[in-house]
Amino acid sequence: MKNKKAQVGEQTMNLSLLLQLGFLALGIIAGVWIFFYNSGYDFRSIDAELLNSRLQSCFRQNNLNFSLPREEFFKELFETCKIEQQEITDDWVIAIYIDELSEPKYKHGDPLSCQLQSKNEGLPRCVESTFQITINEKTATITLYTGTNQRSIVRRTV
Amino acid sequence: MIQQIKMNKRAVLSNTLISTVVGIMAIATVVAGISIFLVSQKNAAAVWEDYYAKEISRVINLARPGDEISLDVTKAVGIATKSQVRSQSEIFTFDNPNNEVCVKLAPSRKTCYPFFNDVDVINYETLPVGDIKDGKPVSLLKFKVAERPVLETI
Repeated sequence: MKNKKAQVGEQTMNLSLLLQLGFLALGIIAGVWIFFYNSGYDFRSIDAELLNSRLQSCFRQNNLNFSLPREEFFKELFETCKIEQQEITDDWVIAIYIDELSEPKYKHGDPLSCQLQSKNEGLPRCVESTFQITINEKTATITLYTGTNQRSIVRRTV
Repeated sequence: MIQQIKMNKRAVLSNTLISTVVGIMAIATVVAGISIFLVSQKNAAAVWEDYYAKEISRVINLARPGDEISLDVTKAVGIATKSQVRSQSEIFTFDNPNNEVCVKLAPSRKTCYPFFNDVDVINYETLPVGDIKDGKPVSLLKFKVAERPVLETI
């Protein structure tokens, strides 16, 4: 006569084996997912560098009007530098300091996040450059911060 | 009495057999599932889509109107072919109104990345060329960067 308790034990062992296998599968899938997809190809610093160098050469080659209010200045800046304004979304940071570093003359986004970038992976990656240009026949030192937190967009297709 | 013991032995044997078969089937199912998942990730289509979209956007951001660009995209074309993407013209697409480059290396998805350069990408095509690299024909993505036409408001 087969012991009932032994039968129950056998069934429990099967169930536990299934659970263990399930956890193993989940672990492998989660591992592969995190390893390949979570990090992605971090392009933020390169993008920030591209915009920085683009703006830098634009500042040098054009006489921008630094007395304009914020909205008008950025409109003129993007038009002059051939940058599509719609693409400079809230994911982007641009901060332009003229001569002094206490307060940016013009800013888009939050320049503070650039200073905290090393402490939080989720904040924009920023690039800084300092150069001199002539404004109203005087030499001015421009400190330019550009940064981005832009990610690629995955779209489902048919 | 002896017959009863024999019957019980048969019952025990059949129970053990069933539980062993069920266990083996469970293991086989899980192992097959994991294998299918890992094989499907072998191409790493998503990773390469992301890589190509970002690198092409970099090229566009650095380009000037009038530039004609050719990029070696053999790896991407190889992945798309293995993943059964229907046509080569679907692999790389440029959405000028939205300033986006999209890369499709798997049948049901594509990865897009924006570029900020105020230009249009025109005459783009993916072409196999005569050269052989790693035993496969080299594929090139060719496109032209053009000045964006100014829309006049009436």
